[in-house]
This record gives sequence, structure tokens and C-alpha cells, in this order.
Amino acid sequence: MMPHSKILPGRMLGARLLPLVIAVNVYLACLAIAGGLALLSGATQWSGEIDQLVTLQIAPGSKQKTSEMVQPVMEALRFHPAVAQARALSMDEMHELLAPWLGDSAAVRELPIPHLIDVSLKPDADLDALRSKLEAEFPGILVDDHRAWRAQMGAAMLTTRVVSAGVVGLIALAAVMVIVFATRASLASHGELVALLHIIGARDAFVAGEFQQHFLGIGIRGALIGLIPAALTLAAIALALGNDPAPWMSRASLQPSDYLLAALPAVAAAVMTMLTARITVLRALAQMD
Amino acid sequence: MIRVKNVALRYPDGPEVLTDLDFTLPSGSFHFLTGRSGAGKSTLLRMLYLNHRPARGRMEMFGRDVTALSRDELTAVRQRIGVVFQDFRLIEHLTVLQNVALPLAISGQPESEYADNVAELLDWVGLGDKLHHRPSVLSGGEQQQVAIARAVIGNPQVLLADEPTGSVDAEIGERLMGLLINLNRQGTTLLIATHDTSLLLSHRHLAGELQLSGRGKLKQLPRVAEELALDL
Repeated sequence: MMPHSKILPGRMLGARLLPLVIAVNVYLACLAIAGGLALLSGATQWSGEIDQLVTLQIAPGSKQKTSEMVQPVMEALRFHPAVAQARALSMDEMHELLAPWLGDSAAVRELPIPHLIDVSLKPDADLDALRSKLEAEFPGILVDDHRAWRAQMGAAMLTTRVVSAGVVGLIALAAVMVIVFATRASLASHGELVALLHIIGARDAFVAGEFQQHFLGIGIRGALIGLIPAALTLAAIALALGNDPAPWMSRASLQPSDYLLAALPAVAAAVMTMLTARITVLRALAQMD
Repeated sequence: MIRVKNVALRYPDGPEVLTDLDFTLPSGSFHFLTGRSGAGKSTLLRMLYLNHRPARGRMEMFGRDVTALSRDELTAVRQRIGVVFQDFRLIEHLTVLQNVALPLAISGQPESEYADNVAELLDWVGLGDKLHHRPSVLSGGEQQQVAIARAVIGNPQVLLADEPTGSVDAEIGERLMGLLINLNRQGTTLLIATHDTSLLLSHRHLAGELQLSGRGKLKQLPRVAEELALDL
């Protein structure tokens, strides 16, 4: 059963529209948080995978043929304590990587391109030692630990966090302003009732408590109305991604705990509606004489 | 006790509507507040139930100068005052029972403690079969009875009533006056604003009179019995 005031009328000003306004805000906030969490989750997962990977490039142009250098490098990697696994990419795989940019024509296949070796590192591996050893033994080899890419990813994650928080903050601010307006309007439209309560001996806290109860009911209704379509939307997106996940999309998925976080705006909206109404009424009453 | 000294009352940005008010209502006293329509009876009552602050002067209630009290302190004073409004001011969406119980609900008493008392009082005033009716379905007289029941349910130390029998027939009026006088005998200070001369004459032996002139001045008259004693 919804909380409600014992004294204020159930159908007060804004009692029908305000839940819908809150519902829209809850819906948007839930999606903003879910979207932010999904992106962060994907980025974190991707970044975590990259952390343990380095790519070795055996560039063309050295005196030895690049293809001839692959085997000795693989031998050197096989027994190195930092390396968990190493795999040389085939020429087909490398051309596949270039195809989106250069196409896959015979001319492209003639281009001198570096040989790539993907190396998975052991946890706590000493990358600097591995780099020194390889660069000493195989001059011209390039050890790419994806530092620049990870730096960009870190900046993108930070931006995502800030933007998500900003969007949720703006939604909350808009909701607070609407609730303040509705509470003041409601207080004004029930001025006679509030005056009567005061004359009968009601304290400001009692009057504020009545409004608080009323608006808590509105907040809960709005939260539920907003939460249900938000949950359905997230479920639909998860279903769509589950059917045909692109590689980055499969990483950008929500964990069960993320769903709980995404539902937080609903709880916050109910509490915020209640508190905003209480504070607004107490302030307004304090200005009355 | 209520003591009013050199008090003037004005509405915001308006002239003084009541000036140089000087009177004392001792604890347990009974007074009528009389005057022609528009003389300021309701305005004076509003000041006494602390809905208007005096523009100047001093007003003491229960030994405290209420012109200097904070909001919370004023509320504590209001809780000792019962008010019967001329226009009843019943809350339309509440039942008769809930309207009468309002002062008790506001004071934080649980419903289980007061429900029987409220029902008993309403039964006594003749509304026992209308506990769960909305005020709008009651007659004017019945609404007035509910308003009086709401004012007295909390056993106030001061009862201020604005034309409390104005909307009821003579029989119910006498019954309600009996209730108010009974409360006064138990120690409640009673001030009844009225322009009903028959009511005044029939109870003049019990009550003093605060007489408001048309110029916003007030004269305090003792009750008839005291006047006779002075004449002798």
C-alpha cells in the first residue's frame, strides 16, 4: 500500500502528472547509468585483456627477411619467464587486418608489411626485461605494449564516467526543481488547510510530515512507473545484443550488480521526492508569520 | 489568563482596525464578545488564537507575552486553545470522526486511544450515527456541532467561539451552550463572539462582556450578577 497523508487530500495538485514526470526522469537516469556502466564494463574488460598483451612487430627493411626472423623470435619467447603464450600471425591474418583500410587486392598482398606476433604475458611479468632482451637480440624489432591506446581508453573511460554522472545529475536537478515547484503549488493551493492545522496546534514538522507522506507516495508511484519500462528496455537491448553480438558489444554488457546500480535512480527518486517536499514545506512555513 | 494591554491590530499595509485594546480574561472566566457586524469581533478572535500578531502592545496568555514567542512556542500556546470558527472550517475529505479527532491526531495520540472518546462526544452532541459521513452531507447546524466538538475534544484551557450557535435551532443551540458552559465550569476560559442578543440576555448572568464599538475600541463589562452586587 502506498504511503499517504492522513490529512491532505489524496488528489492534490500535481498528484496525477508529477508521478509521470518523475517516471520519465527515472527512466532516463536508469538508462544513462546502465549505458555508462555497460561502456565502462566493456572498456574495463577490453583494457584488462590488453594489459596482458604485447604485440611484436618485425619490420621490413632489415637485412634479414622478416619471415626468417619470426622463428628465432618465437624460440626466444618460448622459454622466457615473462611469456605465457606467443602466436605469430599468418600472412592471411595480417592481410585480413589490413583489408578494411587497403582492400585485399593482389597489389596489397605484394606490399612489404611487418610480421606480427601476439604475446600473452604471465601475471606480474617484467615487460621491460623482455623488451630489452628482444631489442638486443633482434635489432629493429618493435615491442608495442599498447600504451598510447590504453591512455586513450583511460581518457575515454573517465569521460564516460563524467558524462554519465553529469547526465544523471542534470536529470536529478530537473526532478528536484519540478518537485519543488509542485510542492510549493500544492502548499499554496492548500493554504487554508495548512492555516487551520496551525491554528489547531500543528507544528511545522507535522505539516511537513503530511506533505512528505503525500509526496513519498507520488515518488514511489513515479519510480515504479519509470523503472518498469527502463527494465524492459534494458532487457530488450540485452536480448538484441545476445542474438548477434559484435565483439565490442559483447564486452559492453551489464553484470547483475550493474542492474542493481541502474535501478538506484528509482529508489533515489522516491527518497528525493520525499525529502525535497519536506524541505520545501519547512522552508516555506518558516517564511510565514 | 489572557491579559491584553494597549494592543492595536492592523492588517498588512492597512490602517489599525482595532486600537488601544485593554482587557483581562481571568482563568475560568466566561465572556461574550459583542459588537455590530464589522466591528472586529472575528478579527479580535483571530488575534487571540494567534493567527494575527498585534501591531503593538502586549498580549499575555498563560503567563507569557505571546508577541515575543517563536513559531514553536506559539504552537505550544495554540495547543491549549480551542477555536470554533464561524464558517466551521471542517476538512471536506475527512469524515466527521476524523475532523473531530484532528487536534488529538496532531498532538500525536494514537487513534486507538481517542477513537472511543471522539465517538462518545459525537454521540452526545447527537451525531453518533454520522461518524463516517463527510461534512458536506451534514446540515449547517450539524456542521457547527462538529466544529464545536473538534474545538472541545482536546480539553482546551481557553475556548474561543465565533457565533457558535449561529446556524442551529434554539434547542440545539441551548444544548451546545450547555456543553460550552459545562466546559467553563470545569475551568476552561470561554469567550464567545456573538451578535445574538437573545443568547446574550439568556446567559448574561453567567458571563462578562467585551463590547467592541464601531471605531475599533473595546469596553469590558462585568457580568450582570457582578453589576448588581456593585449597585447594591
